[in-house]
This record gives sequence, C-alpha cells and structure tokens, in this order.
Amino acid sequence: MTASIIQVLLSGAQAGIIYGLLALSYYVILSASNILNFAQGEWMMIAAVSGAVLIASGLPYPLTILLSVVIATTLAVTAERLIVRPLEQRGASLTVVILALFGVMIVVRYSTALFFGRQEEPLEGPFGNEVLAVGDSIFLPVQSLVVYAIGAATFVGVNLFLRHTWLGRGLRVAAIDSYGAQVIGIDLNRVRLVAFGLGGLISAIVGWLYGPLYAAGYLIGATPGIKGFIALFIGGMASPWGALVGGLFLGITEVTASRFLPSIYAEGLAFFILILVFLFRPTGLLRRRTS
Amino acid sequence: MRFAKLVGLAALSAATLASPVAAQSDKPVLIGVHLDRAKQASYYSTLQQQAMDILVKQVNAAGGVDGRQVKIIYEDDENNPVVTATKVDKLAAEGVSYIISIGSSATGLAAQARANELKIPHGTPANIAENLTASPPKKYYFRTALRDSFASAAAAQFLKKKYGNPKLAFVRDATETGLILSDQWIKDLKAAGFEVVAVEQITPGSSDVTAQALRVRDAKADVVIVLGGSIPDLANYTKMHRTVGNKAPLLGNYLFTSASFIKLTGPAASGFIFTDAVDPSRPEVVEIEKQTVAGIGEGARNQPVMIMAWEYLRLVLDAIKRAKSTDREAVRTAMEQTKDFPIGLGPAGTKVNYSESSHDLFTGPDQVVFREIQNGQYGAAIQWR
Repeated sequence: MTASIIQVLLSGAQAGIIYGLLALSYYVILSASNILNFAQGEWMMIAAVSGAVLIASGLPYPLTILLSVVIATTLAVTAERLIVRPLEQRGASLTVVILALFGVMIVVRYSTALFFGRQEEPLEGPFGNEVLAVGDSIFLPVQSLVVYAIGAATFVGVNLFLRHTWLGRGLRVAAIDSYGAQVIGIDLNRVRLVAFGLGGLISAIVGWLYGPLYAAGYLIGATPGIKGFIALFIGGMASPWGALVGGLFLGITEVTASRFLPSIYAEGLAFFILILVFLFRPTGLLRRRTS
Repeated sequence: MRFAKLVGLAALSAATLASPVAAQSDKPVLIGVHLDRAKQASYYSTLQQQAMDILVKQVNAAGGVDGRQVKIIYEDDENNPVVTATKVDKLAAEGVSYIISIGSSATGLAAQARANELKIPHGTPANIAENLTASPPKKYYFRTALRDSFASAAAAQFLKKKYGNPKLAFVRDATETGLILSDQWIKDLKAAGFEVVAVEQITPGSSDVTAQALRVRDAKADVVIVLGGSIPDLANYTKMHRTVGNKAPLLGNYLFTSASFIKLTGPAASGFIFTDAVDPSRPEVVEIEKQTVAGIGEGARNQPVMIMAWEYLRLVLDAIKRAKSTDREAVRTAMEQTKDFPIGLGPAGTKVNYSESSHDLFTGPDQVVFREIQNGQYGAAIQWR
C-alpha cells in the first residue's frame, strides 16, 4: 500500500506539474489582459514538433531545445501582434478576440499536420527515456525528475519575475486595475505582449517536458491544453501558485482514481471531484488575500 | 509457375483494365471518395488516398477503363458524420458511379446510410465496424475490410491454440475506436469462454500509464489485449507493461500497423502480435508495395491500409469494366456478381466472391492473418492453424 501511495504521488506530481505549468501560461495572459488564449496547448505542441524536426536534421541537442523554444515563443508573440492587437485597436469585444485565438489554435494545429505529417514521432528527453525502478512497485521515468526540477524552477522564476521586475510588476498592476495602470504610465500593449511572450515561453518549456513522455505530433496539445485550463480554475486566480495547486490536485486525483479503481471509472471520478471543488470553492482552492 | 502468374498481378492491374475496344465515351469514369484530410482519421485516410492515386495514374497511363480515363473526386468529411452525408450528396451531384469510404467507421456509417438512399454503389476497404454489415446485406454496399467480429473470433481460436484457456486483461484507449473495438472483443471473447480479469482504460494524451500497467500486472492476466486508435497512448502502455515486469504476451488488432507504433515503442514492441487483413509475404502485396514505395517513398512501407485501398479500387474498376457501363445500377450488379476475383488481402488464394446474400470479402475468422513484431520490424504472417 505504501508503495502504491508513493507511486501515485510521483505519477500524479509529474502529470500535475505539466497541467500546472500550462495553467500558469493561461494565468499570465488572462490576468494581464483578461484574454483566455486557447492556443497555449499549440505552442507546447510546436516546441515538441519543431524539436523532433530539428533533432532529425542533425542539429546538436541543446541548440535544438533552444531553437524550438524560440520558435514556439515567437509564434505566441506573433499571434498577439498580428491578431490580438489589431482586433483590440478596432474595438473588438473580448469574445471576438478569444474566438480569434480559438481560430489560431485550429490553424496552427492543422497546418502542423500538413507540414509535419499526421504520425507521431518520438522525442528524446535531455537525459534519455529510461525508467528507474525501486523494488517492483515504484517506477520513475528519468524524465519525471526533469519535470519536477524544471517545473519548480519555472514556477519560482515566474513568481520572481512578477514580483521583482519592472515588467512583472506591470503585469500585476494591469491585472489588478488596467485603467489605473495606464494612469501611472504603464503601456498596456507592451504588458499584453510580454504576457503573451511569457505564456508562450512557459508552454514551450512544457513541450520539452511532456513530449519525451508522450510523443511529438500535431494533436498533442489538445488534451494537456484542456487539462491546464481546468487546473487554472481549480487553483483559482489568486496567485500564480494557484496554477500549481490546481495542476497537482488534478494530476494526483486522476492517478489516484486510476490506481485504486478500474481506470474505466477514473476519468469520470476525477471530473466528479472537480465538480465538487467548484461547488464548494467556486473561486478556486487558493483564496485571494483580502487586506 | 503460380508465383510467376501472381507476381505480375498488381503491376498488370492497369493493363488488364485497359481494352483495345474504342472508347465508349470521352467522359471520364468518375469515382467519389470521402476522407478525413486533417483530423484523427487523417493519417490512414491520406495513405489510402495516395495508394489510389498511384493506381489511377497507372490505369490511365495504360489507357484507362475501356478507353476512358479514371478520375477520383475527393471530398473532406472532416471526420464528421453529418458533414459526410452532405459530401455524399455532393459526390452524387457530380455524377460519380461509385463512392469509396476511406475515413473512419463513423463516417463510413453515415456515408452508407446516405448512399443507400441515393442508390449509389459504395463501400470501404478499411472500415471494420461490425454494424456496417447487415444480413441481408445493404443492397448498394460492398466491403473488403476485415470485420471486427472475425478478428475477435480469430483471436479466440489463436488464444486457445497457443495458450489453452488464458485469463485475459484488456487495455484500451478512450477513443471512439478503442471503446467500440474493445466492447466487441470483450463480448466475443467472454462468449468464447475466456475469463476477463481486468479492463483498463487510458485517456488519450496521458503522460503516465503506470497505474494501468500495475493494475494489469496485479490482475495476473495470462495474455493482455491492447486495442485503440491512439497510437502514442498504446505505445506508452506497451513500454510500461514491460517496465513493470509483466511477462504476459500482448495481442492487438491491425491498427498497430501504424509505422509510428514501432518508432514510439522501441524494443518493447518485440513479440507484439496483431490481427491483420494483409500478409506482407504474398507476392501480390510485395508488388503493390513496390509501386507505392516508388510513388511516395519509404513512408509507404508496411502500410496495410495502402494495400487495402489499392485492391479495393482495382476491384471497383474491374466491376465497371465488366458492367461495360458507368451506370450506377449496372456497376452495382457487376459488383454483386464478382466471382473468383483474386485479391491481395487475407491469406494466399483469397478471392472475392460476392452474392446477393454476402457483400463482404471476409466470410470468417479463418481468413484472418496474424503477424508479430520482431527486431523492430512488422513480420510476415505467423503459421499457427
């Protein structure tokens, strides 16, 4: 039983950190601009797919990671520049902007299928794809250790950025009061651009955490994208740490259900628990501090 | 001698369909095809399309069918049954003589319903869903795909022969394909007397399947049957199955012949056995594969769906030639009257014999091929009967 619990925590944390990071990518953009960017899962996919292509082309591995992250982040920023900003300047409603980004998600996904092909390719992790075994009941992919380490570093890094940099504070002020932010001289266009860039960067990092565990292919952004979205609302919008709490809660709940119940019931049970969370804590598990 | 007769079968497909008789019409022979261009079924849809395009090019280069060039009109069904029905209408309006379904079974069912209403002969090389076949058969529908109930019945025979009375576990993904297939197989194998000790399910996109692998191992199944449509998830399960030390052999269906399964699974794929409609060691299949590889490159290797699509189109064009007409009723009648048509599907010697009471190529589990993955390659048919 102890081994099973440890396995559940290890597997659940791995899945949960991936969901939490995607939730963080949504959070950064949503809090700075009120925009829910459905394309976040696709930036993750682009990083993984371009990584697979670059590896196949013979580029050195570290350069592959760097380039593919740059490609995905650049696409995220380009979407803000070419789609979101012109729509905002034309006075489009938030709904229209969100729908346009939904369209971006579809275009990116199926364009990738056209150019990359429809079959998935393996993506080698930075430390290989081996699995460590402790006895015969605890199994830990080496890539999970990468997920824990990079996930923790990303959350800490983003929090430090938001708290201790001028740009980060600008994002936080815009999230609290966009009118007030303009009054004190914060350029909301720049804030939004930074938010999209940061969100894209986080998603791109997830591509290299998730891709080696799963595969690189045009559809891989779909399910984690949705789970990240759900994790965001489980944790709540009180702080970036809500994304991590929500992700871990979702990941561990799913794996616990799969381990201790026939897994045909696991998905349904996990979402039933989510409904209970929303019923009793509609603003999320983490409450906003009141002064 | 027999080999010599057979070896030219695929390559001569084009020549046998041509005729020195003067063209009956300048109009092309129109074949309609609905497929999924971009969504979940697109990877096998586009492979089938590529195979058919190569065959059509050869047929046309050799003079067409009775002097008439063949033209395929493709419509994207978006893997959506509602859209499929409208595309069937569109193809009907274009004047096609036959409609071929190369998308998913769900869209194949939608196409069947609409094409039967419009009285257009149609069918599929690859849709395996059981409910596409009725008894008596739908008048305008002809299939060469392997019915899934035959695959599961053959699996029952194989399991009894090889393992006696093994306890079974099922692992499936939660795609529509995975759920429909596994429900059919579970029902059939239980009816055949097997005990099912576990049924585990993987949500597509899961980065971790350790829980499912441990539950299957703890259930102490003798054989684990893996079914579904999401190759990365099933590849992950296969790897974890070995990692947790489960020695139970793995059995799947023909969907595992996707080239990415071996790439994603690596050495863990060795020993994986699956049912199939194609024996790659047959000379006809070797010849067709030579043509498809020449046409699109190495991506055509080990792609049974391409063989299926090629042979089905060849059958349809032969029926049009025998009908001496592109009239839909004449083509339908000619298809139904197909007798002893040699085809590169199933075991050696398989022939298409349709009748008023049967519009399926495969008539029983004895025609199902079993193959094994060894050393990173899809093997030829296993001889086990």
